[in-house]
Amino acid sequence: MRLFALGDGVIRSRLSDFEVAVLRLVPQLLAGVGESAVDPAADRLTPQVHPDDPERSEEFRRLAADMIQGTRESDADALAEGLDRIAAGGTLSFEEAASWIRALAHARVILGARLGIEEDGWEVDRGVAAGDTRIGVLHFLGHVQDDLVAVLTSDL
Amino acid sequence: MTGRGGTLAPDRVIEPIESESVDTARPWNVVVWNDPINLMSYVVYVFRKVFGYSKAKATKLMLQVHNEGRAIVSSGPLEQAEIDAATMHSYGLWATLEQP
Repeated sequence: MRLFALGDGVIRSRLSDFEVAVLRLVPQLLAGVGESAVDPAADRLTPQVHPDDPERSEEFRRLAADMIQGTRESDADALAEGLDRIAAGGTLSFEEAASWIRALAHARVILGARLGIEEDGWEVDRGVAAGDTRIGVLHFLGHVQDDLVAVLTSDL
Repeated sequence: MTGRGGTLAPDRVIEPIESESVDTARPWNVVVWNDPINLMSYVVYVFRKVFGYSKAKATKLMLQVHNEGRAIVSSGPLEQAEIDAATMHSYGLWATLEQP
């Protein structure tokens, strides 16, 4: 069953209380990027934009960091606020949902990087992270994201 | 650009990186690379939302990324290319710049 439904210009959630609780981990995950000295997620989220020119890449990263960090923080806030409203029986706007799917993308990329997933096919061959419960979270966040993309795509 | 929500953080402006060694007259390509995490449906959505591409064009580019490992998603002056690359990063996509 789809986790979201479109109606009267707003998005209605069918998330369970448990699913809402799991999603509350996402803002926490986003806030923790780069807190440790070595974080593969930080490298993945701000890749070298000029692969052959580390100096120019670093300059770009410095200039773009505020925008990317600002977007990530506002997306995390939108997710947290939306979850509160859903928990109280409310709905999501399209703008909020657009923030949600970016936040979910970041959360999935963060988890994937920290799990060491570098190749396609990890959904079938779990060798790299077999038994890690974060794989289940990765799948669930993908499910939520995919359902929201389906709703938002109907608005493009 | 299509859809609701407008642009990302419009109050944040990225200044172009100046360098004497860079030929700013020639266009720059924004390249998106395949990654094992982002969903195909999401990547198509991002290309449509950010660049205003049709569903067919966005899907073709997504499949090129998936099958060939990379695709050029936009081209233009350095300043615009840098903004596009930063926007791709803000969506969690892996993007780089190249000047052919």
